[in-house]
Amino acid sequence: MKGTRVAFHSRVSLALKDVPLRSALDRATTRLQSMREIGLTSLADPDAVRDRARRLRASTLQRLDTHLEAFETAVVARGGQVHFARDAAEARRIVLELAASHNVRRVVKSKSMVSEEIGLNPALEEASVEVIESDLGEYIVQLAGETPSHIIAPAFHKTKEQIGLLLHEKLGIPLTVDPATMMAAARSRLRDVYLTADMGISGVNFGVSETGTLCIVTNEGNASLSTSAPRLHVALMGIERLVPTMADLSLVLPILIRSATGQKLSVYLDFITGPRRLVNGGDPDGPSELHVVLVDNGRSRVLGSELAEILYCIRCGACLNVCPVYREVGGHAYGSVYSGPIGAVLTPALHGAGVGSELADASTLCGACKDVCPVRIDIPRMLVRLRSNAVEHGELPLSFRLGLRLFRLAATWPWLFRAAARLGRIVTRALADQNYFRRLPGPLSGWTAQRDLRGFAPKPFSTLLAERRRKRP
Amino acid sequence: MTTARQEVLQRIRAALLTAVLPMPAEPALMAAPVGDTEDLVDVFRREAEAVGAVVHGPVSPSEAAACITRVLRAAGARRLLTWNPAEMGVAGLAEDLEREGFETLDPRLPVDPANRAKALLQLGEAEVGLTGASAGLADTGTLVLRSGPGRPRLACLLPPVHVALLPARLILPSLADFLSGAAQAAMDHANLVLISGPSRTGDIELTLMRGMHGPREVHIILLADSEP
Repeated sequence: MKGTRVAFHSRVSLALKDVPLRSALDRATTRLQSMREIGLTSLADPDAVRDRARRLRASTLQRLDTHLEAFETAVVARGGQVHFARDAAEARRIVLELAASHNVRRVVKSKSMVSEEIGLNPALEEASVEVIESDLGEYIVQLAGETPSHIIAPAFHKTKEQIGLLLHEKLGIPLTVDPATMMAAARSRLRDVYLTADMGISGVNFGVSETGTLCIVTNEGNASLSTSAPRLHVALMGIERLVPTMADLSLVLPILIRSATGQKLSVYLDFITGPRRLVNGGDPDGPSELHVVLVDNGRSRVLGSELAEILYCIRCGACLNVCPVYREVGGHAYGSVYSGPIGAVLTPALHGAGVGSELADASTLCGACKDVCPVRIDIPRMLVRLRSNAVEHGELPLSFRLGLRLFRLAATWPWLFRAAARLGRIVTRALADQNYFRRLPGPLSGWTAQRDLRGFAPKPFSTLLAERRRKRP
Repeated sequence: MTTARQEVLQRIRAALLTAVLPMPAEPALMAAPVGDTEDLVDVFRREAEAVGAVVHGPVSPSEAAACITRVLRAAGARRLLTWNPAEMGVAGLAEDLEREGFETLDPRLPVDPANRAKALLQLGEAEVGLTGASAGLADTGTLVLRSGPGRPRLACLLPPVHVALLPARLILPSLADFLSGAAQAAMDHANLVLISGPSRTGDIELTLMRGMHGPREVHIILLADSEP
């Protein structure tokens, strides 16, 4: 784990030196944050809606087994097929087998965070299946050989100049800085892909257990096309992503969409219940088969842990935009599919065994994430939990552990604490400049590289308090 | 051997024995929006225009066909990817479309892969998609379309222009009104799609652009029940 901690810190250092990245981050997160503000506050009673949505997430998870069984029954009743996947490898295998048994050569994908989580694209490519992302941001990121840096805006770390150059190199279009020209080029390329793909793969925003319906939210229409044109539809879904009824969607859809982009409603909302129907004259189009892959991959373990609340998350991305750490370093520094405050909890939670626990350091515990979360997830509480786990499991560097142990020692012996404080005052008096240390030596120099360290107060608090008591008994 | 299904469900049941799922108290009932006496058609028009759709009418039954062909011509239609006219609630529409010289493409995709691919490529040639709608949502300017016989999903997605016919009496106040009664509709149709304006993206520097994958223009023709 110590190695990953070092890797994380070096990714952060790199990101902090990337000036274009930081200006793109600042622009995008500020914009998204203000759009969310407008969107959410225009609800009649946003606080009550959020409390109700939080209750819905909690009560659904309390009976997750029953809801999953009901959902499965309903999907099958409408002609769909359901596959359970214990982990990422099993989920990949299910999709690969479907591709092989249906002679699939080309896959069009609409956005799915679960597919990123299970590493699906490389697995398909290894099996000689061509896979093309259709969400414009995801498509750009795929062409660049990168990964998404934000749940909602996957490519916002790239400037239009960089995207213009990328499309020029990859699609052979003339070099341009005009976003509309770039969009037109991507549209025409992806249009061919929809019409010739054998399989469409989508994510799922919510599954409805009462009806077996998959609810998918997009603005571009890429999920609608990916799930209507190809002859097969494979939907990837985390097992926690259920709501009991269609009516319940009126609680979670508006806050998801408003928190993500500030819109009242996304341009497209698809409700998919089974494959193309063949009765009563039959549907003219739509996929002949629908396969729903229910992915556990650590979620059931999280459900039984002290981090269960993270499963309430509806993936709106609002906590990323307000996080003072994410806003400086962006998504890639986290080195995980899920970044920002939610990623700092979700990554170690899903992996277990301390993997990714270093991400819990990437927080000031300011609580902004909890304030904006549409279902009020207490992310800071879980970050503190993860940090204390890391200490207990000895995952921190020796110097850090030694420091903590010293502090504990001092804090438990009052005479030692007083003696240490006295020593601190002596050092301050001798070395500080107007009670501030301007530059610290050796390994401590990092602290004073950007700011001054305040010295010990000339008179300790305990003395002040005692004096005050003496004056006013 | 335990199947993945059994194992996942077992894990969940075991986890639920110790799961801590904090939940707030039930909040007071939300106040219903007050003083909203505005006509649903007016609200629908305002909101649909706000998200970039073009709203025509309401047109009376006798004017409907003329209005539709006018909008189709203005959109440069030659080949149409259209719902079966019987599904769109305008008398004599099939004859009008034929008389006006529009070519209507056969929207039925064959089941076998090779012919399906060929048919899809042809449907991609249509300039305009023409559909009905089973409901409108005033609060968000949204169209509700249900797939089914004579109602291809691709008509509102593939062509660069989508023309939708919406009977004004089918306009509901909001998404919640639609969802509260949507369970049966969801089970009866493989696809329900709610459309609020033209396809859009903000993925390049958050610049808002229309017509990413779906249509860049959405025209909604409101149909009145009777002559004025």
